[in-house]
Amino acid sequence: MRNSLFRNPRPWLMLFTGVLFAFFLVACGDDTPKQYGPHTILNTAGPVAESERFLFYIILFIATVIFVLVEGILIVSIVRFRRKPGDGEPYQNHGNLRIEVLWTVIPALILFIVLGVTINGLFQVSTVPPGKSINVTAIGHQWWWEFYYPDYNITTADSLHAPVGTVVNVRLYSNNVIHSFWIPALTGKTDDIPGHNNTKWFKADRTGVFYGECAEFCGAQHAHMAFNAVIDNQDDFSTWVTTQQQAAVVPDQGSLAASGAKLFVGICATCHGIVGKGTGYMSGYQDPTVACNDPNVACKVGPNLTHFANRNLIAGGVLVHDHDQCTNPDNLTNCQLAQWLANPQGIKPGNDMVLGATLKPDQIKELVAYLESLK
Amino acid sequence: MATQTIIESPSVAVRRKSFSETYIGEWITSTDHKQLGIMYLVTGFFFFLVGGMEALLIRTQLAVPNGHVLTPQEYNQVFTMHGTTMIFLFVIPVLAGFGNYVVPLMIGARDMAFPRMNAFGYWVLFFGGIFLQSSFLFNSAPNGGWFMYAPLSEPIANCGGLHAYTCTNGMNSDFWLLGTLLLGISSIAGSVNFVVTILKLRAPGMSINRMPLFTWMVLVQAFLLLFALPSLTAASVLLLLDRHAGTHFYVAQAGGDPLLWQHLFWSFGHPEVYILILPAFGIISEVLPVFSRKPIFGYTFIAWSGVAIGFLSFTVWAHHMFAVGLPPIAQAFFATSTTLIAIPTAVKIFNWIGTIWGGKIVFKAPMYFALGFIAMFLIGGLNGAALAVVPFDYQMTDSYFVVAHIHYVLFGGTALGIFSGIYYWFPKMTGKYLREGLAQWHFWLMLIGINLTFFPMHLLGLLGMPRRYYTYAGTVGWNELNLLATVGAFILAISVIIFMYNIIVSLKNGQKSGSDPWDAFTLEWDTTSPPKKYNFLEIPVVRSRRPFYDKKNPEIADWKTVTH
Amino acid sequence: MSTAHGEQVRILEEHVGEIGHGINWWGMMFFIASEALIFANLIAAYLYLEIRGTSLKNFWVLPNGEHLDWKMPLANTAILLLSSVPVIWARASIVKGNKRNLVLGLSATIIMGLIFLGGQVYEYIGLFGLKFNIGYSTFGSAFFTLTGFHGIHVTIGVLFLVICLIRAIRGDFTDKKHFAVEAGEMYWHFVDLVWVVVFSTVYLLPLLHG
Ligand code: HEA
Ligand code: HEA
Ligand code: CUA
Ligand SMILES: [Cu+2]
Repeated sequence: MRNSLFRNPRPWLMLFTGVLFAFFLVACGDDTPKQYGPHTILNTAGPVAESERFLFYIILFIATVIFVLVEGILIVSIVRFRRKPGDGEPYQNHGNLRIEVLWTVIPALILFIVLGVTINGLFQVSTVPPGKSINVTAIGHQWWWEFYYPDYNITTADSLHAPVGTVVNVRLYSNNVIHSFWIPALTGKTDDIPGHNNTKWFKADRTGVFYGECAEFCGAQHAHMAFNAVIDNQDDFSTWVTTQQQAAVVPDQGSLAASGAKLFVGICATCHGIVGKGTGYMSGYQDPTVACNDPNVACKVGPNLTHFANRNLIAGGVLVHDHDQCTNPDNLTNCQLAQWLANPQGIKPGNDMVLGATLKPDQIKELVAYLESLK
Repeated sequence: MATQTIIESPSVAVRRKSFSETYIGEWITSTDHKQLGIMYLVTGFFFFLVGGMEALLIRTQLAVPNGHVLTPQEYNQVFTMHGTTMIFLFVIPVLAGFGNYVVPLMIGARDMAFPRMNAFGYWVLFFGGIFLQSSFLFNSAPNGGWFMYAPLSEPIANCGGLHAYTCTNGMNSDFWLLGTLLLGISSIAGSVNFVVTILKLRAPGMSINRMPLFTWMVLVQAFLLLFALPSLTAASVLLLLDRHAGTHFYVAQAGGDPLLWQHLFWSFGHPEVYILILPAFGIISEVLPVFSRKPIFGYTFIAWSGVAIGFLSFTVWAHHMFAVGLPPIAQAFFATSTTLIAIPTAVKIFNWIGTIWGGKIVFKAPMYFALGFIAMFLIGGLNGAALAVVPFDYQMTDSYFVVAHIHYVLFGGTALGIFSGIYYWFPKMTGKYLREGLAQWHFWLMLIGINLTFFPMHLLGLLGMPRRYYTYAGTVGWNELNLLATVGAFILAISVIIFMYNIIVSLKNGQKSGSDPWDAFTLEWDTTSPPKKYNFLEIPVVRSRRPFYDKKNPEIADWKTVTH
Repeated sequence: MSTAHGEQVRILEEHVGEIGHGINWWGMMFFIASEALIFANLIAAYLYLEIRGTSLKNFWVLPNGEHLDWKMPLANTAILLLSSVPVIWARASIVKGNKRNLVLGLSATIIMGLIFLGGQVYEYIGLFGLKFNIGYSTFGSAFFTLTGFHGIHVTIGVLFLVICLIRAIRGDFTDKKHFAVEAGEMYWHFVDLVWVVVFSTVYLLPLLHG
């Protein structure tokens, strides 16, 4: 065991610090998109995330310098002051006031610089800039996000739509447990706390689809509470709003979708709202922050599906929804919607979609047909 | 008054009780600080293995995307118990063990001030630990995370619960609340004992500013426990009432406030994290001088920076709550206090380096771990300081970046400090060395393991991986780093197994160490190893900070050369 | 061993002589300090919820819209405060070796303590009559938790003193050896002082903002 490799720690320490530096290089290496994957905070798409990243680079730089210096001195003194055979006792040095003051003051100064930029950035991020803006209420459910647009009175789930270059004022609401609203590319977290209608803002500089996640531990499926921030240009957003405001498409008589609609009213409508005409339909969107606290209103437990066909996530992003895969009733093998309907508890254990009886294949066909008709 | 204490004096107490001849019986009925110290250490290390097993479960689940080792509910129980076990059942008991064994010897006392209360504290901890872990048998281990946020830890009716999984249903939270209440009682008993022992039972001549730094840090830690634990107790009592007496403290729907829990918990929780590191600072401050053959550099600064950290630690709690929507001005305040606390820590680090600078370093196991401590804790501290940059924390809070921070300070810091202490004082406790060769395998594997496991977590945080996710999709670029971390965890496991093997073989036939194996400076070595029940035949008289060094080098004794 | 024992005696007596109080006194002191902090936290929680409760909707009044009645509790407070006189007297007597007064003093304190508890129970019953209970909004929760937690401490204090009383009657205590009494006294003072703070927070504070 007394291996000569261990006689001399030098090579080891070198190797190990080498590894560390390698890591640091990875950490602050060039940020071409893709390289980091979709969730990274490093390729930002808006001012909030940008100033947050800026502060990261500052502290990363300072920390790296200090890291190199201190570890450096440490290693030097380890190597330089190793006891050699025949050495006597070293000089018994008990300390030195001047040095003490020095290495108290210098870090203090650096730290106060850091503190300065911190507080500056803190207020920068918390003050909403002027300019055109929209309002969204983000409701945290277990375990999916619902988005209510008070100005347009529309409700949607899993995808937050917003126009580019516009300040999005988000009101964070939960009536169950604490969740946390996070879109790494656009903004850091703010918690969704019952009794505190926190507000936050963000703004996107470019169009695109950005990933959002729930970042506060909220129970069994905390890991599957994702959402999309879909940033369109102003026109696309306006058209999206108008489509959302329409009542649901009514399938023509005798079609597969029509029988799907019947099934839906029978099985799904207790939890899922669909705005439309006729019995079993909602007269209009409900503001969940009101409905679910008002015993007189039937609060819908599940997402509103009025325009499901043009959503792209299912059940908090546990599955993705690809319309084209689901249009052919005779081949739904790649239609994740069908998989979801077949076995929601298997795919997302513990979620609230508990079916009385598992759906039969042809029932699923009909329901898929109906849901895909809901443009 | 005095006479009464004598009756409680250990030498007597022990003689009376432990004529219960059996070996076991003697340990069980013991009130001797050395035996209790060892019992604390063994118990704590046992729970380290338990917590480590839980960690390995976590890592196996996360090794690859969409892992199926644990169900979501199981995963939540495992990571909650991992954190709880490591903090309350590994670090606290092990540090209490060192304190019990070493402090009375260091200050030249014959035992702790209250030997019976000492035993009481140990047994409460022992059964508290069993109670907590037993929850697994009922398949209802705590599953709300180690800080048990309300309303997730509330009964279903109390968080707008319409359906089965709204809150963490079942007894789970009760196990945690009652368990930690027990552990709290044990810690209070222990801290009262430490404070009184250190303030009242020091050998003649050992003034406060001659106390060994380990004793200093234990003293500060004891005060922190005394003043921080009440917050946890209060918080837990209120939550228990919410759960079982129909109160509404944390129930927003009835005017209560989930944030109340967070404020109460973290005003315990942050002092707690320094409770977990200060004695490790102390161990390092004992080991470095001895193996550098120099006195500690800047004794006064190390001691008082410890005190400063103690005070500041009560002012920073809301840096765990930057994302809850506090007013910016409040966040600025907590950012400031959090930044301030970095300064005394820096002072310590620099003084440690000052201690080895110009020394003649003897490379023995305790020194390897002490140096590793500095190197690793520095990283943990720096990324802690990064987390104090509030807007950056908005991005990183509740992400794996925080998990990386936790483990660099708690594993790279506290745990390495603990191992340093074990290698340092093992000869004291047993009269035998631990094997050097094995020790070095242990050290290098552990150092590599730590960085392989926890460094990637920084990057995972930056890549947007939130903590407490029981699984992740394969498409978001987290796969390699997670696998790396898992590999690292198993390297750590190997290093731990080597350590256990070392303990066993060294206990069986370790090389005899004699009473002063390291040519040390402080009083605990100025007696036989292991010491007799009554520690010292003659209570030594102290004239400087290195009494034993003086005794061995009378001509250049500290009390002649320096004035303290 | 016996030499060792001798040492122990020397060390301890030296230290006892050194700074006024013995280790038991200090032990008790720190224990009480940490107890006191539990109350500090509960009171903080109480105020936190009061501020929040009054700002949200007016949670912080009785179901009948009134504030808590403070007169009866005030009388109760007076009794509790006065009760620390006999316990001081009891300690002072045993220091002088007067066992009879010790018994008298302890008994007096215990009785006054019981009266206080009785008063609290009486108040509770009255409040229950008003449909004000631990489940009534955060106000009820906070009120009954805080005062109840204190009530429990008074009970513990009383039991503590009862044990002292029994031992006193058995004649266990001497002018030299009576730490239990001392501890009992300390604990009792602690319970008194805490009550003053609790009382002011719960009953007097609301009077300020009408
Ligand atoms: C041993 C325990 C320990 C220690 C010592 C520390 C030390 C520090 N911690 Fe850490 N912390 C934890 C344990 C610990 N922490 C745990 C367990 C959590 C997570 C709880 C949970 O959520 O589960 C946590 C979480 C945590 C957070 C919340 C993160 C979040 O959830 O959003 C923050 C934020 O500010 C923080 C900050 C700090 C700081 C500033 C220090 C400072 O004390 C560090 C000071 C040291 C240095 C800075 C290095 C040396 C200094 C120099 C070399 C001088 C020069 C340096 C500079 C100029 C930067 N910690
Ligand atoms: C002192 C504290 C401490 C220590 C030492 C550790 C040690 C480790 N921790 Fe832990 N950890 C925490 C404190 C600690 N942790 C805390 C407070 C949390 C937060 C919890 C929460 O979010 O609520 C956390 C969370 C946490 C997470 C995040 C979970 C999540 O958010 O989803 C992860 C993930 O990898 C992790 C991993 C590890 C690993 C791999 C180790 C390894 O270093 C472990 C090494 C030890 C071993 C591998 C044991 C060896 C034992 C054997 C080999 C068995 C042999 C047994 C016999 C022969 C009987 N920890
Ligand atoms: Cu919602 Cu995590
Ligand atoms: Cu902290």
